[in-house]
Amino acid sequence: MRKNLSILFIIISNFVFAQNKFTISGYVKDASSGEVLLGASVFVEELMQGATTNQYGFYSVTLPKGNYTLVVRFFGYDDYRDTINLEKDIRLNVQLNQESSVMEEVVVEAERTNQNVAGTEMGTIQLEVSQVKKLPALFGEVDILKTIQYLPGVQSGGEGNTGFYVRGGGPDQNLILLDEATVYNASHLFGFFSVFNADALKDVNLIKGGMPANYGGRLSSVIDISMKDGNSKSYHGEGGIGLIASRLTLEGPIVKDQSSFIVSGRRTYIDVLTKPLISDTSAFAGSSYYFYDLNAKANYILSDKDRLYLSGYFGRDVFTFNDNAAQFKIRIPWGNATTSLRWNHLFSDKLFLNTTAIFSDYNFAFEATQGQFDFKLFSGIRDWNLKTDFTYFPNVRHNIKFGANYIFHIFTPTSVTAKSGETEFDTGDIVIIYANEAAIYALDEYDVNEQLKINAGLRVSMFQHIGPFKRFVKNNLGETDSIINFEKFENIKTYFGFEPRLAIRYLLPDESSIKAGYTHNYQYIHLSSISSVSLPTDLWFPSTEIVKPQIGTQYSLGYFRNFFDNKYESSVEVYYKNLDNLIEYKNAAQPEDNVNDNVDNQLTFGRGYSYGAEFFFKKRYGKFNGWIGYTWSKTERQFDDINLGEWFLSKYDIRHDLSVVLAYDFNERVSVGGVFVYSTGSTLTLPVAYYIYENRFITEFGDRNSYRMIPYHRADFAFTYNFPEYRRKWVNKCNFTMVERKIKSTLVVSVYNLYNRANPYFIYLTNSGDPLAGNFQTSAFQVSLFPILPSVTWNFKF
Amino acid sequence: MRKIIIISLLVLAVVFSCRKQIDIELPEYKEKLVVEGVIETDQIPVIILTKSVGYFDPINAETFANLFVHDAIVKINDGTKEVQLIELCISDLSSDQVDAISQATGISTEELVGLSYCVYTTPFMLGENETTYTLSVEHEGKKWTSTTTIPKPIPLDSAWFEVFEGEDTLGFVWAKLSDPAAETNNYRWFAQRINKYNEPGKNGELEPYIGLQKDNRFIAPIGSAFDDKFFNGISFEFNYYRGEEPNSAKPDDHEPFSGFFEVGDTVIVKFASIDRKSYLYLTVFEDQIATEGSPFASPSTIPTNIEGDEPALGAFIGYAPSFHTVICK
Repeated sequence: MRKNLSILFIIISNFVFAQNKFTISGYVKDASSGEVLLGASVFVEELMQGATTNQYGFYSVTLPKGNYTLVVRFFGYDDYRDTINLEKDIRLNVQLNQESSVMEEVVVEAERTNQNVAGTEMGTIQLEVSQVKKLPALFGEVDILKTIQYLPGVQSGGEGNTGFYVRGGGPDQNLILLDEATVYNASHLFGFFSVFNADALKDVNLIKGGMPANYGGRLSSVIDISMKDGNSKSYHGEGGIGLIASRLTLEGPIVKDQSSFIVSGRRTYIDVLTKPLISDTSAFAGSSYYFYDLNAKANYILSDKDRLYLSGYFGRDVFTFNDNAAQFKIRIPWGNATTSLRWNHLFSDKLFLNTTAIFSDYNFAFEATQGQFDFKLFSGIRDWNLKTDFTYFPNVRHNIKFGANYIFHIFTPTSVTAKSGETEFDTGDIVIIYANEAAIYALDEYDVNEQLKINAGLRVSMFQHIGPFKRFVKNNLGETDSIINFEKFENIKTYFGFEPRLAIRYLLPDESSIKAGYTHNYQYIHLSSISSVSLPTDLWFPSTEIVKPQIGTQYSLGYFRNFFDNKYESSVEVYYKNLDNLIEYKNAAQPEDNVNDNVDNQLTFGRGYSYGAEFFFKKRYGKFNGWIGYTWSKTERQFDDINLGEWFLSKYDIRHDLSVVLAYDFNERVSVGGVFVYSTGSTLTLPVAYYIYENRFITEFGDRNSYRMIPYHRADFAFTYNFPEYRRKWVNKCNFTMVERKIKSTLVVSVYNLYNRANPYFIYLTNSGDPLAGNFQTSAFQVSLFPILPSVTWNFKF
Repeated sequence: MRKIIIISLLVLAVVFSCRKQIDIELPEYKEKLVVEGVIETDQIPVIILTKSVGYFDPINAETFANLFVHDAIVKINDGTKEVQLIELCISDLSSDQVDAISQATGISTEELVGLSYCVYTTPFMLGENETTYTLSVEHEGKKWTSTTTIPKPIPLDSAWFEVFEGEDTLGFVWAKLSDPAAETNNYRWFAQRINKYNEPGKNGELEPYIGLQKDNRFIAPIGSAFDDKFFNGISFEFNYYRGEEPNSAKPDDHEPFSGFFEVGDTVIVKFASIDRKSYLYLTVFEDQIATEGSPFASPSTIPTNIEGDEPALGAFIGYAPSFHTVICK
């Protein structure tokens, strides 16, 4: 009886309190373009409580009835401040104005954000695209993914490598999203450029630790990239003409303030790149390399409660090489295509829904002809994806997210045709792998009290390999024992994953905080690299009954502190990661093994760990800004079949990694930027001995990754000149007025590898001569890629 | 197939790069035993025992002689009897015996003589089809064993010569094979030109070779080992280019003749069946030769079929050959 009464009392009291609470909600946008702003702080000054806008710029704050001063703040914009008399639910859309002068040394103290201290996201960094554009870039091409590699914990795979490593994880452990669509290979030209055209981007968020439950499917990081929506007020364009590539972006309203579009394209010039390729003989005629990308997006505000977005990306690289004298020709095309259709819906001012349908495709082909012999290889992955995400703001203390995600995968790991003259080789049927991947999640970001904030969530994921499928059952000599045929939709193997995620932030005095995180992740699709260099020919393949999902557990702890009223940010983070079911090719596996066979018959499995400490110091405001990041880390692997089962250093082990990034705005006209990076050399497996077999000298290789190349270091420099925005318009011989130019332009001169260091790309050992003749010699060579490379780019905006 | 991928990727790297010679310090190396063992139907077994040598250690005619392992106890067991092999050094042998060793090992007579080869062999055991042989090696208190099988020979249906498109007299040897469907078959291809040089060549470059047999032994071109993964149970035609001795100085092993057979050549094709482990060894071995120095290959360990107290390198291989004569015209 008493129990029932107390329950009743609780219910009634909640109801009573609830009756006195009202919600302010709405969208935060950029006043001049109408772009929604993600991650803007919306808070009530009196209580210092509030919310941040979600991925679609939506916020919701529920408070007891009363008078409040509402502040909306976002980096790069002037604060919005207003008094609100809260006695009923209010819809308030806020427009923020861009900061009048970005170089004001004394930005109003209170306006500086302290999100890095206050947020629970540990290991999350939001990159401002405008800042990235000021930094020196290879060939003048601003590259988001390269800039991410200047942050601690994120390491470059090396020049010419497509991927990057986050906290000791491989390139396939990074989830790269463009407007929620997965991008499988985010590189052009073997990693020299990324597929992201910075002019089309709004926001780049890197999560390297403390991954919240709404993300999953990869172990190491999430790079969540949002495209601009397109200026909904007026037409604009921007672009640039550079040495290597040119780009153009056009945006504008379709219906003013209701719907807008943005289209952005970029292409390289064949000539510039093929000139060094075509040597003096014209036998190489027809050799070329080019890439292009196209980003397009349109959105439509259907009503106060509904908004639709349609985005797409299409990019392609094509490399051709002809050696007409040797009758040798190769052509390698590869690229991504993604489309996402999203629908935002407001159920109430507390419950926001986004549903997205996504199509994502990545494929590459390798076509080679040598005389009569013709060889074609194709590999690809195609996803059909439907996801739905709810954001619920019950009150100012809780920010709840929940949702579900389903992906239908179609993998073609290897499809080969080969013929010699008229004879077609039997390369077997194309084995296509079909799989279902799904997840549901729920998380709550809970402000327990003024100091303590917890983001706790659970993600439950599932992966299922279904037929039709042809399984080649092999014995341990690699001979096919039997073939099993699975029917369409037949369940071959199902995996489940329980992925708890926890992040805690405890605020300390003096603008500092301690954060701790624990995440447990499953990864169901994998990238296999047969060589020590990652290439676009690496294959994506799924978990099967032979390949278990990769599992990662990460513990992280960090201390964050801002100085001088948020003018300087600093942090120290330490992490430890445990990795299981890691995948490598078996010793001596060869690419043709994949033909007429299952890819997973060539694989072997193991485990690993990685740990490190990351130091970060950043100055965000003022004429002079930038950051320094330093990481000390170690990561090792152990596979029974490799290196005799002994632990070995992973090829992702880069012991020291230092990046210094600086930008200085002299005045409105001139700014300079510089980057210095230093990292320990990559590991390699080198030969240790020779032996004779059939009268040939054969190398014996040493322990896996037991050799390290010399350190990599490089400095880049960029000089940006902003042409005056106004020009003189002569009224008569003596007088003129200042008229704003229609086209504003900037000239960027940049130099990559300022002091021309020959950084090693790889090392190889070779021999020449004849032992009998006594002139047998072994030598080691180091191959480097980029010498000093200056470039000039002219950027324009209208 | 793989060669094309490797070549093209190498091209990419070379084209975009600068290259310089550097000094490398490798860790201290402990030598391993290398076993090169061959047993073929109707031939005596030949086992060559050597040691591996650190990568930057010098290799010339003198140091080469030091690589041979002497005074080892080497035995072969064919399931019914066990025979101990005797060590013979080339200097002790007659030229006929040297030829026999050359045929068995695939090492040319010049190399055998020039590098003072020593081999272990016996006249008391000849290879037989469908027999399993166990090799044991004992040296300085350590023991190693290996097993190989000479399978049933699978002969080619036919072999012939075809001039290559665009050429007048140069071409490849073609063959037709009907692969049995029942089991996994593993093969190795060898070819030997038994005709003699009889022309001085365009500029007299073949003058010194006139009167000599073109090939002294069966030569396996790179890629000679293959299995029936792509043509199990199928009859199909294929060709091979002409392999050459490593470091050959002969003009016909250079452009534009390299890799070709010529009208007028008499070629004996030795088409042998081998067991699975031998195939696995040879295919990785040949792959490594083809990709020496390329960064795009993975540094692999060639799967040896030698086991023992310490890791060893090399393999013991049994061949079941069939022979076919091709007159090139």
